[in-house]
Amino acid sequence: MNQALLSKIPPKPRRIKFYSTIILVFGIIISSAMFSGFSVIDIISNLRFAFRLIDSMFFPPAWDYADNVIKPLLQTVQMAIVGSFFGAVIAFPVALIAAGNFIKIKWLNQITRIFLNFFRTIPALVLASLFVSIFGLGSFAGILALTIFSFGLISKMTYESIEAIDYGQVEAIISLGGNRFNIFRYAILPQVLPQFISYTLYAFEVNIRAAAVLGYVGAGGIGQYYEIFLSLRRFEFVGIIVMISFGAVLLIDFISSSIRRRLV
Amino acid sequence: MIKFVNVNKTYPNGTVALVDVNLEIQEGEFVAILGLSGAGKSTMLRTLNQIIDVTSGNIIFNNVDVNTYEMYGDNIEKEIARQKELNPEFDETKLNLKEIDITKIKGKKLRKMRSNIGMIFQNFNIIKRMSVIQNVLSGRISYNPTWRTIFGFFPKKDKEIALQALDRVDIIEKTYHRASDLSGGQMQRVAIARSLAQNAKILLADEPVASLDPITTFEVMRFLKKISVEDGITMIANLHHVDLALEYATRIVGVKEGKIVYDIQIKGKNKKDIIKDLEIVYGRPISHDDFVGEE
Ligand SMILES: Nc1ncnc2c1ncn2[C@@H]1O[C@H](COP(=O)(O)OP(=O)(O)OP(=O)(O)O)[C@@H](O)[C@H]1O
Ligand SMILES: [Mg+2]
Repeated sequence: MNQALLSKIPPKPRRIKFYSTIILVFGIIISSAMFSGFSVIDIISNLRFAFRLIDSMFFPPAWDYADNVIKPLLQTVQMAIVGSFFGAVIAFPVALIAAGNFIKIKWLNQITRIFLNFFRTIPALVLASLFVSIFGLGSFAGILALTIFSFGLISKMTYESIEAIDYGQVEAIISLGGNRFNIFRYAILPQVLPQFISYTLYAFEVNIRAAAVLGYVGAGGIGQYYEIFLSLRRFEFVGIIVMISFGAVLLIDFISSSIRRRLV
Repeated sequence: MIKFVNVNKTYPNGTVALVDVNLEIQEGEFVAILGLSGAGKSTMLRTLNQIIDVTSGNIIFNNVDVNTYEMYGDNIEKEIARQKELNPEFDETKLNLKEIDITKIKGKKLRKMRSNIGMIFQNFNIIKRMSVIQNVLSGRISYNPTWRTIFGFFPKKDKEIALQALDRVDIIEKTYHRASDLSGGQMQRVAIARSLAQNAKILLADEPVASLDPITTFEVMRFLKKISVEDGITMIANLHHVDLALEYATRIVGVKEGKIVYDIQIKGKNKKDIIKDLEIVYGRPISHDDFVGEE
Protein backbone atom coordinates (compact mmCIF):
# COMPACT_ATOMS: atom_id res chain seq x y z
CA MET A 1 0.00 0.00 0.00
CA ASN A 2 1.42 3.38 -0.86
CA GLN A 3 1.86 6.19 1.62
CA ALA A 4 -0.73 8.50 0.04
CA LEU A 5 -3.47 5.89 0.35
CA LEU A 6 -2.47 4.99 3.91
CA SER A 7 -2.80 8.57 5.01
CA LYS A 8 -6.38 8.70 3.69
CA ILE A 9 -7.65 5.70 5.65
CA PRO A 10 -9.58 6.79 8.70
CA PRO A 11 -8.46 5.35 12.05
CA LYS A 12 -9.93 1.93 12.72
CA PRO A 13 -12.92 2.23 15.02
CA ARG A 14 -12.36 0.76 18.47
CA ARG A 15 -14.56 -2.13 19.40
CA ILE A 16 -14.86 -1.40 23.10
CA LYS A 17 -18.55 -0.68 22.74
CA PHE A 18 -19.16 -3.98 20.99
CA TYR A 19 -17.31 -6.08 23.59
CA SER A 20 -18.79 -4.27 26.55
CA THR A 21 -22.29 -4.85 25.13
CA ILE A 22 -21.61 -8.57 24.85
CA ILE A 23 -20.30 -8.74 28.42
CA LEU A 24 -23.31 -6.79 29.67
CA VAL A 25 -25.81 -9.06 27.89
CA PHE A 26 -24.19 -12.23 29.27
CA GLY A 27 -24.02 -10.67 32.70
CA ILE A 28 -27.76 -10.00 32.64
CA ILE A 29 -28.59 -13.53 31.46
CA ILE A 30 -26.39 -15.25 34.07
CA SER A 31 -27.54 -13.10 36.97
CA SER A 32 -31.20 -13.56 35.97
CA ALA A 33 -30.69 -17.33 35.91
CA MET A 34 -29.14 -17.24 39.36
CA PHE A 35 -31.86 -15.08 40.85
CA SER A 36 -34.66 -17.15 39.38
CA GLY A 37 -33.18 -20.37 40.76
CA PHE A 38 -32.23 -21.89 37.45
CA SER A 39 -29.84 -24.74 37.99
CA VAL A 40 -28.16 -27.06 35.49
CA ILE A 41 -27.60 -29.64 38.22
CA ASP A 42 -31.32 -29.84 38.92
CA ILE A 43 -31.97 -30.44 35.25
CA ILE A 44 -29.44 -33.23 34.97
CA SER A 45 -30.49 -34.98 38.18
CA ASN A 46 -34.16 -34.96 37.14
CA LEU A 47 -33.52 -35.97 33.56
CA ARG A 48 -34.60 -39.57 34.09
CA PHE A 49 -38.06 -38.39 35.29
CA ALA A 50 -38.38 -36.41 32.13
CA PHE A 51 -37.52 -39.45 30.02
CA ARG A 52 -40.01 -41.57 31.89
CA LEU A 53 -42.71 -38.95 31.29
CA ILE A 54 -41.93 -38.69 27.59
CA ASP A 55 -42.01 -42.47 27.38
CA SER A 56 -45.47 -42.69 28.90
CA MET A 57 -46.74 -39.82 26.75
CA PHE A 58 -45.61 -40.97 23.33
CA PHE A 59 -44.56 -44.62 23.43
CA PRO A 60 -46.77 -45.93 22.10
CA PRO A 61 -49.07 -43.07 21.03
CA ALA A 62 -52.66 -43.53 22.19
CA TRP A 63 -54.06 -43.46 18.68
CA ASP A 64 -57.40 -44.90 19.81
CA TYR A 65 -58.05 -41.69 21.63
CA ALA A 66 -57.27 -39.45 18.63
CA ASP A 67 -60.94 -39.31 17.53
CA ASN A 68 -61.89 -37.61 20.77
CA VAL A 69 -59.27 -34.91 20.28
CA ILE A 70 -60.63 -33.66 16.98
CA LYS A 71 -63.78 -32.03 18.34
CA PRO A 72 -62.16 -29.90 21.08
CA LEU A 73 -59.35 -29.08 18.68
CA LEU A 74 -61.84 -27.78 16.12
CA GLN A 75 -63.53 -25.79 18.86
CA THR A 76 -60.16 -24.27 19.73
CA VAL A 77 -59.55 -23.30 16.10
CA GLN A 78 -63.03 -21.81 15.88
CA MET A 79 -62.42 -19.78 19.02
CA ALA A 80 -59.19 -18.47 17.53
CA ILE A 81 -60.92 -17.60 14.24
CA VAL A 82 -63.81 -15.77 15.87
CA GLY A 83 -61.52 -14.01 18.37
CA SER A 84 -59.09 -12.82 15.68
CA PHE A 85 -61.95 -11.69 13.46
CA PHE A 86 -63.70 -9.58 16.07
CA GLY A 87 -60.39 -8.33 17.41
CA ALA A 88 -59.48 -7.15 13.91
CA VAL A 89 -62.87 -5.53 13.38
CA ILE A 90 -62.47 -3.38 16.49
CA ALA A 91 -58.75 -2.84 15.91
CA PHE A 92 -58.99 -0.97 12.61
CA PRO A 93 -61.13 2.00 13.67
CA VAL A 94 -59.20 2.32 16.93
CA ALA A 95 -55.89 2.21 15.01
CA LEU A 96 -57.19 5.09 12.87
CA ILE A 97 -57.83 7.16 15.99
CA ALA A 98 -54.38 6.32 17.36
CA ALA A 99 -52.65 7.31 14.11
CA GLY A 100 -51.36 10.88 14.36
CA ASN A 101 -51.49 11.46 10.59
CA PHE A 102 -55.22 10.67 10.27
CA ILE A 103 -56.72 12.22 13.40
CA LYS A 104 -54.56 15.23 14.15
CA ILE A 105 -55.56 15.60 17.79
CA LYS A 106 -52.47 14.77 19.82
CA TRP A 107 -54.13 14.06 23.17
CA LEU A 108 -56.68 11.76 21.53
CA ASN A 109 -53.90 9.81 19.79
CA GLN A 110 -52.01 9.49 23.05
CA ILE A 111 -54.98 8.38 25.14
CA THR A 112 -55.91 5.78 22.54
CA ARG A 113 -52.37 4.43 22.52
CA ILE A 114 -52.26 4.15 26.31
CA PHE A 115 -55.56 2.29 26.14
CA LEU A 116 -54.15 -0.10 23.49
CA ASN A 117 -50.98 -0.75 25.44
CA PHE A 118 -53.02 -1.43 28.55
CA PHE A 119 -54.87 -4.26 26.80
CA ARG A 120 -51.69 -5.54 25.24
CA THR A 121 -50.00 -6.05 28.59
CA ILE A 122 -52.72 -8.33 30.02
CA PRO A 123 -51.99 -11.98 29.12
CA ALA A 124 -54.80 -13.81 27.34
CA LEU A 125 -54.94 -16.37 30.15
CA VAL A 126 -55.62 -13.65 32.73
CA LEU A 127 -58.28 -12.09 30.51
CA ALA A 128 -59.87 -15.52 30.13
CA SER A 129 -60.07 -16.13 33.90
CA LEU A 130 -61.59 -12.68 34.36
CA PHE A 131 -64.22 -13.38 31.71
CA VAL A 132 -64.93 -16.82 33.14
CA SER A 133 -65.72 -15.19 36.45
CA ILE A 134 -68.04 -12.74 34.71
CA PHE A 135 -69.73 -14.92 32.07
CA GLY A 136 -69.22 -18.37 33.52
CA LEU A 137 -67.41 -21.39 32.15
CA GLY A 138 -67.31 -22.04 28.41
CA SER A 139 -65.88 -20.93 25.13
CA PHE A 140 -67.64 -17.53 25.17
CA ALA A 141 -65.24 -16.29 27.84
CA GLY A 142 -62.35 -17.67 25.79
CA ILE A 143 -63.51 -15.96 22.63
CA LEU A 144 -63.83 -12.65 24.45
CA ALA A 145 -60.34 -13.03 25.85
CA LEU A 146 -58.92 -13.77 22.40
CA THR A 147 -60.85 -10.86 20.92
CA ILE A 148 -59.34 -8.39 23.37
CA PHE A 149 -55.92 -9.95 23.02
CA SER A 150 -55.94 -9.81 19.20
CA PHE A 151 -57.40 -6.32 19.30
CA GLY A 152 -54.39 -5.10 21.28
CA LEU A 153 -51.94 -6.83 19.00
CA ILE A 154 -53.50 -5.86 15.66
CA SER A 155 -54.36 -2.27 16.52
CA LYS A 156 -50.83 -1.45 17.66
CA MET A 157 -49.21 -2.80 14.51
CA THR A 158 -51.90 -1.28 12.29
CA TYR A 159 -51.62 2.23 13.67
CA GLU A 160 -47.87 2.08 13.19
CA SER A 161 -48.43 1.09 9.55
CA ILE A 162 -50.93 3.90 9.09
CA GLU A 163 -48.38 6.38 10.40
CA ALA A 164 -45.82 5.05 7.94
CA ILE A 165 -47.94 5.45 4.79
CA ASP A 166 -46.96 7.66 1.88
CA TYR A 167 -48.69 10.90 2.92
CA GLY A 168 -48.57 12.24 -0.63
CA GLN A 169 -51.57 10.09 -1.52
CA VAL A 170 -53.48 11.64 1.36
CA GLU A 171 -52.61 15.10 0.04
CA ALA A 172 -53.82 14.07 -3.40
CA ILE A 173 -57.24 13.09 -2.03
CA ILE A 174 -57.41 16.30 0.03
CA SER A 175 -56.67 18.30 -3.11
CA LEU A 176 -59.56 16.52 -4.87
CA GLY A 177 -61.89 17.94 -2.23
CA GLY A 178 -62.12 14.65 -0.37
CA ASN A 179 -63.44 14.37 3.16
CA ARG A 180 -62.10 12.15 5.95
CA PHE A 181 -63.98 9.10 4.70
CA ASN A 182 -62.60 9.59 1.20
CA ILE A 183 -59.09 9.91 2.59
CA PHE A 184 -59.58 6.72 4.52
CA ARG A 185 -61.01 4.83 1.56
CA TYR A 186 -58.69 6.07 -1.19
CA ALA A 187 -55.41 6.96 0.48
CA ILE A 188 -55.11 4.90 3.65
CA LEU A 189 -57.00 1.66 3.09
CA PRO A 190 -55.25 0.66 -0.16
CA GLN A 191 -51.89 1.26 1.48
CA VAL A 192 -52.46 -0.57 4.76
CA LEU A 193 -55.00 -3.27 3.90
CA PRO A 194 -52.42 -5.95 2.97
CA GLN A 195 -50.50 -5.28 6.17
CA PHE A 196 -53.67 -5.27 8.22
CA ILE A 197 -54.71 -8.67 6.86
CA SER A 198 -51.24 -9.95 7.50
CA TYR A 199 -51.36 -8.78 11.13
CA THR A 200 -54.77 -10.40 11.54
CA LEU A 201 -53.40 -13.71 10.28
CA TYR A 202 -50.44 -13.36 12.59
CA ALA A 203 -52.80 -12.73 15.52
CA PHE A 204 -54.69 -15.84 14.45
CA GLU A 205 -51.49 -17.90 14.61
CA VAL A 206 -50.74 -16.58 18.08
CA ASN A 207 -54.36 -17.14 19.10
CA ILE A 208 -54.29 -20.82 18.16
CA ARG A 209 -51.51 -21.34 20.70
CA ALA A 210 -53.15 -19.12 23.28
CA ALA A 211 -56.53 -20.82 22.77
CA ALA A 212 -54.98 -24.19 23.48
CA VAL A 213 -54.31 -23.27 27.09
CA LEU A 214 -57.42 -21.16 27.78
CA GLY A 215 -59.34 -24.33 28.71
CA TYR A 216 -57.12 -24.51 31.73
CA VAL A 217 -59.14 -21.74 33.34
CA GLY A 218 -62.39 -23.12 31.98
CA ALA A 219 -62.64 -20.90 28.91
CA GLY A 220 -63.33 -23.70 26.43
CA GLY A 221 -61.26 -25.48 23.83
CA ILE A 222 -58.73 -28.24 24.08
CA GLY A 223 -57.05 -26.87 27.19
CA GLN A 224 -59.64 -28.31 29.55
CA TYR A 225 -58.63 -31.81 28.41
CA TYR A 226 -55.04 -31.10 29.37
CA GLU A 227 -56.27 -30.13 32.77
CA ILE A 228 -58.36 -33.27 33.24
CA PHE A 229 -55.77 -35.75 31.99
CA LEU A 230 -52.86 -34.17 33.78
CA SER A 231 -54.71 -34.35 37.07
CA LEU A 232 -55.67 -37.96 36.30
CA ARG A 233 -52.00 -38.61 35.35
CA ARG A 234 -53.16 -40.10 32.02
CA PHE A 235 -50.01 -38.97 30.24
CA GLU A 236 -50.69 -41.07 27.15
CA PHE A 237 -53.81 -38.95 26.51
CA VAL A 238 -51.88 -35.75 27.13
CA GLY A 239 -49.31 -37.01 24.64
CA ILE A 240 -51.78 -37.62 21.85
CA ILE A 241 -53.38 -34.19 22.38
CA VAL A 242 -49.96 -32.57 22.18
CA MET A 243 -49.11 -34.45 19.00
CA ILE A 244 -52.33 -33.65 17.20
CA SER A 245 -52.29 -30.01 18.32
CA PHE A 246 -48.70 -29.73 17.18
CA GLY A 247 -49.67 -31.04 13.74
CA ALA A 248 -52.60 -28.64 13.54
CA VAL A 249 -50.54 -25.62 14.63
CA LEU A 250 -47.83 -26.49 12.13
CA LEU A 251 -50.34 -26.79 9.31
CA ILE A 252 -52.15 -23.56 10.21
CA ASP A 253 -48.88 -21.66 10.60
CA PHE A 254 -47.73 -22.91 7.24
CA ILE A 255 -50.93 -21.88 5.44
CA SER A 256 -51.24 -18.57 7.24
CA SER A 257 -47.65 -17.51 6.80
CA SER A 258 -47.60 -18.44 3.13
CA ILE A 259 -50.65 -16.22 2.64
CA ARG A 260 -48.93 -13.46 4.57
CA ARG A 261 -45.83 -13.70 2.47
CA ARG A 262 -47.89 -13.21 -0.64
CA LEU A 263 -49.68 -10.16 0.77
CA VAL A 264 -46.82 -7.84 1.56
CA MET B 1 -58.71 35.26 -11.49
CA ILE B 2 -56.58 34.37 -8.50
CA LYS B 3 -55.20 37.03 -6.21
CA PHE B 4 -52.58 36.69 -3.50
CA VAL B 5 -52.86 39.68 -1.18
CA ASN B 6 -50.00 40.25 1.27
CA VAL B 7 -49.59 36.54 1.89
CA ASN B 8 -47.10 35.54 4.58
CA LYS B 9 -46.24 32.07 5.73
CA THR B 10 -44.06 31.17 8.68
CA TYR B 11 -43.94 27.49 9.58
CA PRO B 12 -44.48 26.48 13.21
CA ASN B 13 -40.72 25.85 13.56
CA GLY B 14 -40.03 29.46 12.66
CA THR B 15 -38.97 29.01 9.02
CA VAL B 16 -40.15 31.97 7.00
CA ALA B 17 -41.37 30.60 3.66
CA LEU B 18 -43.43 33.43 2.12
CA VAL B 19 -42.98 37.17 2.63
CA ASP B 20 -45.63 39.65 1.50
CA VAL B 21 -46.58 37.82 -1.64
CA ASN B 22 -48.81 39.82 -3.96
CA LEU B 23 -49.69 38.22 -7.26
CA GLU B 24 -52.60 38.24 -9.68
CA ILE B 25 -53.11 35.40 -12.13
CA GLN B 26 -55.69 35.56 -14.93
CA GLU B 27 -57.69 32.64 -16.18
CA GLY B 28 -55.94 30.49 -18.77
CA GLU B 29 -52.45 31.70 -17.94
CA PHE B 30 -49.65 29.15 -17.77
CA VAL B 31 -47.45 30.44 -14.98
CA ALA B 32 -44.05 28.88 -14.37
CA ILE B 33 -42.70 29.51 -10.90
CA LEU B 34 -38.92 29.43 -10.81
CA GLY B 35 -36.56 29.70 -7.88
CA LEU B 36 -33.84 27.95 -5.96
CA SER B 37 -34.55 24.99 -3.75
CA GLY B 38 -36.17 26.25 -0.55
CA ALA B 39 -37.29 29.53 -2.11
CA GLY B 40 -40.92 28.85 -1.20
CA LYS B 41 -42.38 27.60 -4.48
CA SER B 42 -44.13 24.54 -3.04
CA THR B 43 -45.40 26.54 -0.10
CA MET B 44 -46.93 29.05 -2.49
CA LEU B 45 -48.77 26.36 -4.47
CA ARG B 46 -49.98 24.58 -1.37
CA THR B 47 -51.46 27.68 0.20
CA LEU B 48 -53.60 28.07 -2.94
CA ASN B 49 -55.65 24.97 -2.10
CA GLN B 50 -55.01 25.35 1.64
CA ILE B 51 -53.11 22.12 2.12
CA ILE B 52 -50.96 24.62 3.96
CA ASP B 53 -52.64 27.52 5.75
CA VAL B 54 -51.26 31.03 5.58
CA THR B 55 -49.95 33.00 8.56
CA SER B 56 -51.52 36.21 7.25
CA GLY B 57 -52.95 37.63 4.06
CA ASN B 58 -55.70 36.60 1.65
CA ILE B 59 -56.02 34.37 -1.37
CA ILE B 60 -58.99 35.40 -3.42
CA PHE B 61 -60.84 33.70 -6.26
CA ASN B 62 -63.40 35.68 -8.24
CA ASN B 63 -66.84 34.58 -9.46
CA VAL B 64 -67.43 31.65 -7.17
CA ASP B 65 -71.05 30.51 -6.90
CA VAL B 66 -71.71 30.63 -3.17
CA ASN B 67 -74.46 27.99 -3.43
CA THR B 68 -72.20 25.28 -4.82
CA TYR B 69 -68.71 26.75 -4.44
CA GLU B 70 -68.22 26.04 -8.13
CA MET B 71 -65.74 28.47 -9.72
CA TYR B 72 -66.92 30.40 -12.76
CA GLY B 73 -63.79 32.50 -13.12
CA ASP B 74 -63.25 35.19 -15.73
CA ASN B 75 -65.06 33.39 -18.51
CA ILE B 76 -68.50 32.92 -16.97
CA GLU B 77 -70.30 32.08 -20.21
CA LYS B 78 -67.95 29.23 -20.99
CA GLU B 79 -68.32 27.67 -17.55
CA ILE B 80 -72.12 27.98 -17.67
CA ALA B 81 -72.09 26.13 -20.97
CA ARG B 82 -69.96 23.38 -19.43
CA GLN B 83 -72.28 23.08 -16.44
CA LYS B 84 -75.28 22.81 -18.77
CA GLU B 85 -73.58 20.04 -20.62
CA LEU B 86 -72.98 18.14 -17.37
CA ASN B 87 -76.46 18.77 -16.04
CA PRO B 88 -79.37 19.59 -18.41
CA GLU B 89 -81.42 20.98 -15.50
CA PHE B 90 -78.77 23.54 -14.64
CA ASP B 91 -80.40 26.88 -13.81
CA GLU B 92 -78.11 29.85 -14.31
CA THR B 93 -80.53 32.33 -12.74
CA LYS B 94 -79.79 30.72 -9.36
CA LEU B 95 -76.11 31.57 -9.62
CA ASN B 96 -74.80 33.85 -6.92
CA LEU B 97 -71.25 34.74 -7.92
CA LYS B 98 -68.99 36.29 -5.31
CA GLU B 99 -65.34 36.71 -4.49
CA ILE B 100 -64.17 34.01 -2.07
CA ASP B 101 -61.13 34.17 0.17
CA ILE B 102 -60.07 30.54 0.49
CA THR B 103 -58.04 31.27 3.64
CA LYS B 104 -61.28 32.19 5.43
CA ILE B 105 -63.41 29.13 4.74
CA LYS B 106 -63.50 25.71 6.37
CA GLY B 107 -65.10 22.28 6.25
CA LYS B 108 -67.43 21.45 3.42
CA LYS B 109 -67.07 24.84 1.73
CA LEU B 110 -63.31 24.49 1.66
CA ARG B 111 -63.56 20.97 0.25
CA LYS B 112 -65.92 22.22 -2.45
CA MET B 113 -63.47 25.01 -3.30
CA ARG B 114 -60.63 22.51 -3.51
CA SER B 115 -62.51 20.40 -5.99
CA ASN B 116 -62.06 23.28 -8.46
CA ILE B 117 -58.30 23.12 -8.06
CA GLY B 118 -56.38 20.12 -9.35
CA MET B 119 -52.95 19.17 -8.15
CA ILE B 120 -50.11 17.33 -9.86
CA PHE B 121 -47.20 16.08 -7.79
CA GLN B 122 -43.58 15.22 -8.48
CA ASN B 123 -44.16 11.61 -7.38
CA PHE B 124 -47.62 11.41 -8.97
CA ASN B 125 -49.49 10.39 -5.80
CA ILE B 126 -51.87 8.13 -7.61
CA ILE B 127 -53.23 5.14 -5.75
CA LYS B 128 -50.87 2.38 -6.79
CA ARG B 129 -52.98 -0.53 -5.61
CA MET B 130 -56.03 0.57 -7.60
CA SER B 131 -56.74 0.37 -11.29
CA VAL B 132 -56.20 3.31 -13.64
CA ILE B 133 -59.95 3.88 -14.05
CA GLN B 134 -60.53 3.82 -10.29
CA ASN B 135 -57.82 6.43 -9.93
CA VAL B 136 -59.43 8.71 -12.46
CA LEU B 137 -62.87 8.13 -10.92
CA SER B 138 -61.45 9.29 -7.59
CA GLY B 139 -61.40 12.71 -9.27
CA ARG B 140 -65.19 12.59 -8.97
CA ILE B 141 -65.37 12.04 -5.21
CA SER B 142 -66.42 15.56 -4.36
CA TYR B 143 -69.35 15.36 -6.79
CA ASN B 144 -70.82 12.23 -5.20
CA PRO B 145 -72.32 11.31 -1.84
CA THR B 146 -69.77 9.74 0.49
CA TRP B 147 -71.45 6.31 0.54
CA ARG B 148 -71.08 6.02 -3.22
CA THR B 149 -67.40 6.89 -3.10
CA ILE B 150 -66.82 4.40 -0.25
CA PHE B 151 -68.28 1.53 -2.27
CA GLY B 152 -66.83 2.85 -5.50
CA PHE B 153 -70.29 2.95 -7.14
CA PHE B 154 -69.80 5.88 -9.45
CA PRO B 155 -72.65 6.85 -11.79
CA LYS B 156 -72.41 5.96 -15.44
CA LYS B 157 -71.96 9.62 -16.32
CA ASP B 158 -68.82 9.75 -14.15
CA LYS B 159 -67.39 6.68 -15.84
CA GLU B 160 -67.87 8.40 -19.17
CA ILE B 161 -66.11 11.49 -17.87
CA ALA B 162 -63.23 9.33 -16.59
CA LEU B 163 -62.86 7.44 -19.87
CA GLN B 164 -62.89 10.67 -21.86
CA ALA B 165 -60.19 12.07 -19.58
CA LEU B 166 -58.05 8.97 -20.12
CA ASP B 167 -58.54 9.29 -23.84
CA ARG B 168 -57.39 12.90 -23.80
CA VAL B 169 -54.05 11.94 -22.27
CA ASP B 170 -53.72 9.00 -24.69
CA ILE B 171 -53.73 6.27 -22.11
CA ILE B 172 -57.18 4.77 -22.50
CA GLU B 173 -55.67 1.39 -23.41
CA LYS B 174 -54.41 1.12 -19.81
CA THR B 175 -57.88 1.67 -18.34
CA TYR B 176 -58.03 -1.60 -16.41
CA HIS B 177 -54.34 -1.91 -15.56
CA ARG B 178 -53.17 -1.67 -12.00
CA ALA B 179 -51.68 1.79 -11.52
CA SER B 180 -48.48 0.39 -10.02
CA ASP B 181 -47.71 -1.35 -13.33
CA LEU B 182 -47.38 1.93 -15.24
CA SER B 183 -44.23 3.86 -16.07
CA GLY B 184 -43.58 7.24 -14.45
CA GLY B 185 -44.78 9.21 -17.46
CA GLN B 186 -47.93 7.10 -17.67
CA MET B 187 -48.61 7.58 -13.96
CA GLN B 188 -48.34 11.34 -14.40
CA ARG B 189 -50.79 11.17 -17.31
CA VAL B 190 -53.22 9.27 -15.08
CA ALA B 191 -52.81 12.06 -12.52
CA ILE B 192 -53.60 14.63 -15.22
CA ALA B 193 -56.66 12.61 -16.25
CA ARG B 194 -57.76 12.58 -12.62
CA SER B 195 -57.58 16.40 -12.55
CA LEU B 196 -59.56 16.56 -15.79
CA ALA B 197 -62.23 14.28 -14.31
CA GLN B 198 -62.25 16.56 -11.30
CA ASN B 199 -63.25 19.39 -13.68
CA ALA B 200 -60.36 21.46 -12.35
CA LYS B 201 -60.35 25.07 -13.47
CA ILE B 202 -56.94 25.62 -11.97
CA LEU B 203 -54.12 23.09 -11.99
CA LEU B 204 -51.25 23.31 -9.53
CA ALA B 205 -48.24 21.31 -10.65
CA ASP B 206 -45.43 20.92 -8.13
CA GLU B 207 -42.41 19.88 -10.17
CA PRO B 208 -44.54 17.68 -12.40
CA VAL B 209 -41.61 16.35 -14.41
CA ALA B 210 -38.82 16.25 -11.85
CA SER B 211 -38.84 12.45 -11.61
CA LEU B 212 -39.13 11.82 -15.34
CA ASP B 213 -36.53 11.29 -18.05
CA PRO B 214 -36.12 14.01 -20.71
CA ILE B 215 -38.32 12.39 -23.37
CA THR B 216 -41.20 11.73 -20.97
CA THR B 217 -40.69 15.21 -19.54
CA PHE B 218 -41.57 16.84 -22.85
CA GLU B 219 -44.48 14.48 -23.34
CA VAL B 220 -46.03 15.36 -19.97
CA MET B 221 -45.36 19.08 -20.47
CA ARG B 222 -47.12 18.90 -23.86
CA PHE B 223 -50.21 17.36 -22.22
CA LEU B 224 -50.25 20.07 -19.55
CA LYS B 225 -49.95 22.73 -22.24
CA LYS B 226 -52.64 21.08 -24.33
CA ILE B 227 -55.28 21.01 -21.59
CA SER B 228 -54.35 24.52 -20.56
CA VAL B 229 -54.92 25.81 -24.09
CA GLU B 230 -57.93 23.66 -25.04
CA ASP B 231 -59.87 23.96 -21.76
CA GLY B 232 -58.62 27.35 -20.62
CA ILE B 233 -57.34 25.74 -17.42
CA THR B 234 -55.10 28.06 -15.43
CA MET B 235 -51.79 26.30 -14.93
CA ILE B 236 -49.38 27.13 -12.14
CA ALA B 237 -46.28 24.97 -12.27
CA ASN B 238 -43.12 24.91 -10.19
CA LEU B 239 -40.35 24.05 -12.57
CA HIS B 240 -36.66 23.45 -12.16
CA HIS B 241 -35.72 23.95 -15.77
CA VAL B 242 -35.61 27.33 -17.44
CA ASP B 243 -36.08 25.99 -20.96
CA LEU B 244 -39.31 24.21 -19.99
CA ALA B 245 -40.65 27.47 -18.59
CA LEU B 246 -39.70 29.39 -21.72
CA GLU B 247 -41.14 26.72 -24.01
CA TYR B 248 -44.48 25.97 -22.34
CA ALA B 249 -45.40 28.79 -19.97
CA THR B 250 -46.92 32.15 -20.86
CA ARG B 251 -45.50 33.86 -17.80
CA ILE B 252 -42.57 33.39 -15.46
CA VAL B 253 -42.68 34.29 -11.79
CA GLY B 254 -39.39 34.19 -9.92
CA VAL B 255 -39.32 33.49 -6.19
CA LYS B 256 -36.35 34.11 -3.95
CA GLU B 257 -36.31 33.69 -0.19
CA GLY B 258 -40.09 33.76 -0.05
CA LYS B 259 -40.47 36.94 -2.09
CA ILE B 260 -41.55 37.46 -5.66
CA VAL B 261 -38.52 39.05 -7.28
CA TYR B 262 -39.37 38.63 -10.95
CA ASP B 263 -42.56 38.52 -13.02
CA ILE B 264 -42.73 38.60 -16.80
CA GLN B 265 -45.10 37.73 -19.64
CA ILE B 266 -43.05 35.70 -22.09
CA LYS B 267 -44.88 36.59 -25.31
CA GLY B 268 -42.98 39.03 -27.48
CA LYS B 269 -39.94 39.04 -25.23
CA ASN B 270 -36.47 37.97 -26.22
CA LYS B 271 -35.71 34.66 -24.51
CA LYS B 272 -32.04 35.56 -24.13
CA ASP B 273 -33.02 38.66 -22.15
CA ILE B 274 -35.25 36.62 -19.89
CA ILE B 275 -32.45 34.12 -19.26
CA LYS B 276 -30.19 37.00 -18.38
CA ASP B 277 -32.83 38.50 -16.04
CA LEU B 278 -33.24 35.20 -14.24
CA GLU B 279 -29.88 35.79 -12.57
CA ILE B 280 -31.88 37.90 -10.10
CA VAL B 281 -33.92 34.83 -9.18
CA TYR B 282 -31.08 32.34 -8.93
CA GLY B 283 -28.41 34.69 -7.64
CA ARG B 284 -26.03 33.28 -10.27
CA PRO B 285 -25.80 33.08 -14.05
CA ILE B 286 -28.03 30.48 -15.75
CA SER B 287 -25.99 27.41 -16.71
CA HIS B 288 -26.44 24.21 -18.71
CA ASP B 289 -27.80 22.45 -15.62
CA ASP B 290 -30.84 24.70 -15.74
CA PHE B 291 -31.90 23.19 -19.06
CA VAL B 292 -33.41 19.81 -19.84
CA GLY B 293 -31.89 20.04 -23.31
CA GLU B 294 -33.12 19.72 -26.87
CA GLU B 295 -36.31 17.84 -27.48
N1 LIG C 1 -43.60 21.56 6.82
C1 LIG C 1 -42.58 22.41 6.96
N2 LIG C 1 -42.16 22.76 8.19
C2 LIG C 1 -41.15 23.63 8.34
N3 LIG C 1 -40.47 24.23 7.33
C3 LIG C 1 -40.84 23.90 6.08
C4 LIG C 1 -41.91 22.98 5.83
N4 LIG C 1 -42.05 22.86 4.50
C5 LIG C 1 -41.12 23.66 3.95
N5 LIG C 1 -40.39 24.31 4.89
C6 LIG C 1 -39.31 25.29 4.67
O1 LIG C 1 -39.86 26.40 4.02
C7 LIG C 1 -38.98 26.91 3.03
C8 LIG C 1 -39.66 26.89 1.69
O2 LIG C 1 -39.90 25.54 1.33
P1 LIG C 1 -40.61 25.09 -0.02
O3 LIG C 1 -40.83 23.63 0.07
O4 LIG C 1 -41.77 25.95 -0.27
O5 LIG C 1 -39.45 25.42 -1.08
P2 LIG C 1 -39.38 25.08 -2.64
O6 LIG C 1 -39.13 26.36 -3.32
O7 LIG C 1 -40.56 24.32 -3.05
O8 LIG C 1 -38.08 24.19 -2.69
P3 LIG C 1 -37.76 22.92 -3.63
O9 LIG C 1 -37.36 23.45 -4.95
O10 LIG C 1 -36.61 22.27 -2.92
O11 LIG C 1 -38.98 22.07 -3.65
C9 LIG C 1 -37.74 26.03 3.10
O12 LIG C 1 -36.81 26.68 3.90
C10 LIG C 1 -38.23 24.77 3.76
O13 LIG C 1 -37.19 24.16 4.48
MG1 LIG D 1 -40.85 22.29 -3.63
